[in-house]
This record gives sequence, C-alpha cells and structure tokens, in this order.
Amino acid sequence: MNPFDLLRAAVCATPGIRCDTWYLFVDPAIVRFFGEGLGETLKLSVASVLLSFVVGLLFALGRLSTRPWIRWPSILYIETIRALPVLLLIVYFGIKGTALFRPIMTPIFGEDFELSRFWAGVLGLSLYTSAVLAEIIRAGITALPKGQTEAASALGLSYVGSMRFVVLPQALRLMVPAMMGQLTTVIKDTSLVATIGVFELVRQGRVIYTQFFNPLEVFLYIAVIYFVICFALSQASRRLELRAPVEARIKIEEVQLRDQVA
Amino acid sequence: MPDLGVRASVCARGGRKDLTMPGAIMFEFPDLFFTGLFLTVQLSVLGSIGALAAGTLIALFRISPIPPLRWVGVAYVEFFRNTPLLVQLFFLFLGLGALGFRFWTTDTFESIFRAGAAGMALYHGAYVAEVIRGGLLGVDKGQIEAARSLGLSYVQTLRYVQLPQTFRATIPPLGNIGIALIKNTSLASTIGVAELLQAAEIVESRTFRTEEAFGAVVLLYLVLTIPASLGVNWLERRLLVAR
Amino acid sequence: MPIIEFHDVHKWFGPLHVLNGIDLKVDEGEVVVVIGPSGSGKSTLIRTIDRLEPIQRGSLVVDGMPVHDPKADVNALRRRVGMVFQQFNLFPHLTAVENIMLAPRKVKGLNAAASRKRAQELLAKVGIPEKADQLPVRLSGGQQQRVAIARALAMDPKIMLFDEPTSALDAEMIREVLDVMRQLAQEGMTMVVVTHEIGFAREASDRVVFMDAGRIIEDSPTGEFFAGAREERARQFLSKVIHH
Ligand SMILES: Nc1ncnc2c1ncn2[C@@H]1O[C@H](COP(=O)(O)OP(=O)(O)O)[C@@H](O)[C@H]1O
Ligand SMILES: [Mg+2]
Repeated sequence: MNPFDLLRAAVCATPGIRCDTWYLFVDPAIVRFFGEGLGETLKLSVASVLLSFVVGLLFALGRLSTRPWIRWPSILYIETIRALPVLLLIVYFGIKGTALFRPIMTPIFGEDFELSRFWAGVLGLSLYTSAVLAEIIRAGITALPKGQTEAASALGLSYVGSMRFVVLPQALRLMVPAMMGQLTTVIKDTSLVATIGVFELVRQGRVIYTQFFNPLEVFLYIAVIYFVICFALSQASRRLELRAPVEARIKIEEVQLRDQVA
Repeated sequence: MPDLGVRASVCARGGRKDLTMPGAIMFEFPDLFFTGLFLTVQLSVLGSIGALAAGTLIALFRISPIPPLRWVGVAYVEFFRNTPLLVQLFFLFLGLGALGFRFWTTDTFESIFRAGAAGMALYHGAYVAEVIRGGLLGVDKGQIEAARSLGLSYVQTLRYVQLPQTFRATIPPLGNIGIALIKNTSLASTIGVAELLQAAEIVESRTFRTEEAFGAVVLLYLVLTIPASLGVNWLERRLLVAR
Repeated sequence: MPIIEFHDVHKWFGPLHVLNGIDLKVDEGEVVVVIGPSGSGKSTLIRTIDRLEPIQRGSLVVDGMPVHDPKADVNALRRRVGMVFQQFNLFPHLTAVENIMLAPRKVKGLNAAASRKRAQELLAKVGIPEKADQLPVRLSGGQQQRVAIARALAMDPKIMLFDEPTSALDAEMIREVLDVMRQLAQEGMTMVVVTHEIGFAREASDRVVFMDAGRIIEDSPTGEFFAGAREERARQFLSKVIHH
C-alpha cells in the first residue's frame, strides 16, 4: 500500500469519521444541493447589501446633518443597532416579520401578503448592515478635505448639489474597498439566517448531516466554500485599499474593526 | 428597538392597552433572563481571555523568524476570519462531538458551554492576532536593535520591550473586538447555550409576548455593550492625549 | 593583542558593496574615531562589530570571539559590547532607571536592589541622578542620550560603540554628551566612535580612520591625521567639516 492509502485507512478507522459518505461531496446531485444553498447565501448577501446601502446612505447624511431633529434620531438608530447582536435582529424579524409589516404591506399587496423567511432574514441583516455602512459612508465623507465642500458652496452649489456632484462621488470611491470588506462580513452573517429556516448553505448542510450523520465532514466542506469566497473578496478589497490615500484608509478602518468581526 | 416593538404589537393585536414597562418581563422569568445574562457575561469573559491568549500566540507566530511558524499563523488568521463563526461553532460542537470529543467533561451543558467559549476564543483570536501583530511591528526598529545590542535575546526583547508597548497601543482596537465578542456570544444559543438570546426565545415561545421578551433582551445587551463602548472611547481619547 | 580585528571584511546590501575589504585593528583601551562622508559605510562598519549587521566575507574577531562565524553566541558577544545610537532608542515605556536596569536583571540575572543601585550610580556618573524616575519623553535629547550611555555601561562592556551619538542633538546638548564620552575615554574604555565632532576626535581619540565608498582610505594616529592627512580626499573632507 502507498502512504496515501495507509493514511486514509488510519483516518477512516477513527470512529466518527464517515469515509463511506465522502463520495457525497462530489456526487452531482449533492453538489447541486449545496449549490442551491450557496445561491441562496449569495442572494441574501446581495439583497442585504443593496438595501443596506440605500438606508445607510440616508442615515450617514442624517448623522452629518446640521439639524438636530435629523441628526439625533440618526445617531440613535446607528448606535443602538450597532450595540445589538445581528442574530437578535434576525431572530426577531424571523418571528415577527409578517405581523410587523402587515399594516404597510396589506394595502399594497392585499390580504394574503406573507413576508417570506428570506426577506425576514434580509431585513434583520440589513437593519444591522445599514448602520455599519452609514458609519463607513460617514467616515468616507469626513475623510475628504474640508476644501471640497467649501469649494462646492463657493461655486454656488446647494447642500444637496454639493453632496450629489462633489462629495459623494469622491467619498464613495474611497469607500469601495471598505464596502467589499463589509460584503465579506455580510456573507458570513447570512449563515445566521439558517436559524430562521432559510435554506442557505448551513441549513442545507444540516439536511445532509442529519441524514448521513457526518457533521464533521459537512461543516468542513461548508467552511471551505465560505473560505474560498470570503478570502478572495477580502484579498481583492485589501488590494484596492492599498491604492486609497492613507488618511482615509485609517479613518475607515477604525470604524470597521468592530463591525467586521460581527 | 423596544419602541419599534411596542408600536408593532399595538398594530398587530388591534391596540392592546395593558402595555407593561419595558423590561418588566425580566422579573417574571428571572431564572431565564438573569441566568442568561450570567451565561452571556461568562462566555464574554472566558472568550475574551481565550481570544487574547490565542491572538497573542498567533501574532508571535506571524512575526516569527521561522517560516513554518509564520505559515501556521497566516493560515490560522485567514481561515478563522474568512469562515462564519456559526460554522465554527457547529464544527466544534457537532463535528468534534462526532469524534467523541466533548471538551473534557461528561456533563452535556458544560460541554456545550465549553464548545461555545472555545469558538469565541478561536474566532476572535484571529482578529486579536492581527491587531497585536500590528502593534508589535509598530515598535520602532531602533528599540529592538538597542535591546539586542544589550544582549537581550529575541524572546526577551519580545517579552520586555515589544509586548508591553504593544498592549498599550492596541487597547482601543482590542476593546472594539471585545464589544463584538459580547454581541457574538448570542451565536452560542444556536448550539444550545441558554444565554440571553436563548432566554428571549424560550420566553417568547411560552408566552407569545414577543416584543416584551426581545425588548428585555435588547435592554440587557445595551446594558452590556453601551458602557463597554463608552469605556473604549474614553480609553482611546486618554491614550491619544497621553501620546 | 587587538580586541577588535577586521580582516578583509566584505558586506553587500543586495548589489551594493557597502564594506569593501576592511582591515582594521583596535587595541584594548584605544579610542578610534571613524569619519567619512555620508553613505560611506561608517554605520555599517561599527554595526558589524555587534553583529547587528552580519558580514559576508572575511574574518572579524571581537574579544576572542569569531563574529563572522554564524554559530557564534551573539548574545554573549553583545553583553561585552555596548552600543549607543544616533536616535537614543530608549524604551519609552520604562523610566530612566528601568531602562538601565532591564538588561542587568534579565540578561545577567542581577536582583532588583543591586541593579537599581548600580543604575543610580551610572546616572550620577552621566550627571543626571535626579532624572531616575522620569520617562524618556520627559527628558531632553542630551539627557536621553546620557541615559542611553548609562544603559550600555550597565552591562560592564569591554568595548563601547558610538554611532553619531550627537548628530540628533542641538548644539547646547552636544557638549554634555561629549563630556561623558571624554571621561569614559580617560578611564581607559575601548571605544569606536563615528562622529563629525572634530574637536572630540582631536582631544580624546588615539587614532582616526577615514572611510570612503566602503573602504578605509586612511588610518593614522590622531596627531598625524590633523597635522596633515596623507590622502587628498581625507584632507578635502576635513576642510569641509572644519569650516562648516
Ligand atoms: N539595511 C540596509 N539596506 C540596504 N542598504 C543599506 C542598508 N543600510 C545601509 N545601506 C546603504 O549602505 C550604504 C552605507 O550606509 P551607512 O553604513 O549607513 O553609511 P554612513 O553611516 O557612513 O552614512 C549607504 O549607501 C546606505 O544607503
Ligand atoms: Mg550612519
């Protein structure tokens, strides 16, 4: 026997390691099954990031507003949400989603409106991610030299005009790497949506291991899938980041550390 | 959040009038909520200590002059940062459980708790490692040369010159990781640790008083995380002034 | 018997030939000043003595220890050789006295009381006994450099190396550092000093070594050197430094 076979025999002799199920991970049907889960994971991520970006932008501008009645509610929203676990928000929307949105959605979609678990998950994720993106966007805006806004107002641009045509285009370019970094975090966080019954990667994995009693292999397999995607994304974001001016990078990084870990 | 919840419940139930004080439900189920709070705090403290230890060790690997140690360090950091904590917890509890490994205890609850604490330490350790590595590399090269020229060994230089300065410089980012860790202990509920979030879910399923149950837990999390972030901000400002 | 002996020493930084066939002997108790234009390899030369820079060819023996040998015990070597840097390099998290005590305690295993007593003596010797419990940020540049000298002396080295110890200092602080070095020289310490302080070289050194482009161009007793350097380039350099 060659050393590889010897090693394999030794590994497979360990109780709890299910070598007889290893074929599953290359079996086309099972791979497609995991693929569906991955598809759901990616859909959750993209939907959450898009929604969060819109909401986050509003709250970033709100927090930068000079009007206290806009600024303070924005600060309250951002800081409260960032102080809470994402999972809490997801579970809450998973349980309450439909009831919560019925009053708004019924007039539009009719009586039999049902908020799917997918969208409950997106809501929970977006609530959190929007607060984080708001902080990243704000850091990007404040990282711009003061002269930019001043020059814009000197040209006679209104507040909205200077934001729209001068500040945001530059600030958003500064933020691209940070946003990509946050996308990595969102992808990892979609795993939490498994707990409210969305059949993304982790939940599909559960279907498999409850049937074949091979959790060790299943979670390693899933971990590798996440790793490949998140590692590629975080490397790309790091590479882009190195092109940004140092000052802006530091400011954005400060905001990010806490939220990337989540 | 609690406000949002209360308004929603009014809408959903056609205007219930008998709203209780936010958080009052805690005292109806003190064993669930306060035991949950205690477990959350325990997980946070043990997880932080573990993360600091694991992170420091991995940071030393990362800057080691021995290439294989450096490779181990990089692999650790990249693997644990680029996979979900939830998957890591399932792997530790279910995956290692399948191998018969129960964290050196026969008590099921204890074993789940230890898996949770280990997950917190391993995952956050990867972030801690990067922060500490940055701090170690931030120590001026001249000081390291001065230490070596006095006859201090590589390890002594790390121990007496680099590490003490590193911990001071890295307190704010480490504090931020700590806050994230407190929040992330909620994931231990998914493997069955009866921490805060689990308490809310149990109370919710027994009473269907969703807003109150989650509102109470929101309050308890805020009680933990808001003072923690104020503390980190304060330290950050103080350290900036000191420098 | 020379205590430092370079024989045909070469060093490269990548393609850059920084030390190109150095031959140099320093006897015990001798004070040698190294001068030369910036980038000529002076820092590299004295850093090789402490093996802060390894050499690639030739032999270098310091106090009987073969420094060129990769297996030589560097920490043992460094205990016998003290080094003072241009940028002081004090440990900012330790007070003056703690900076001085660190190596005696951790390397020599001296106890706290003994090493503190010795540190206090050294601080008195360099003229700042009252600064013992100050952190480096609270000290002037000249005071920091004197603490750095005391820190190196605390290991009772047989050789002291100085790499432009006064170049980062304002004029009024240069003297207080040079006074300490002069005193050390009088006490018979073996010293190799890279400096542009011609006055110090003239009064305190036994020999002057002039370097250019990685080579030792001239190596003369101090009196001879200043009476008239043999080499044209050394003369040019000297006139530039003196009238500067
Ligand atoms: N670590 C290093 N890596 C690459 N080149 C170096 C390094 N240190 C010094 N050099 C180069 O070696 C040459 C000699 O440097 P140095 O010994 O510092 O000269 P000096 O002290 O006489 O000014 C210079 O050209 C310098 O740029
Ligand atoms: Mg130099």
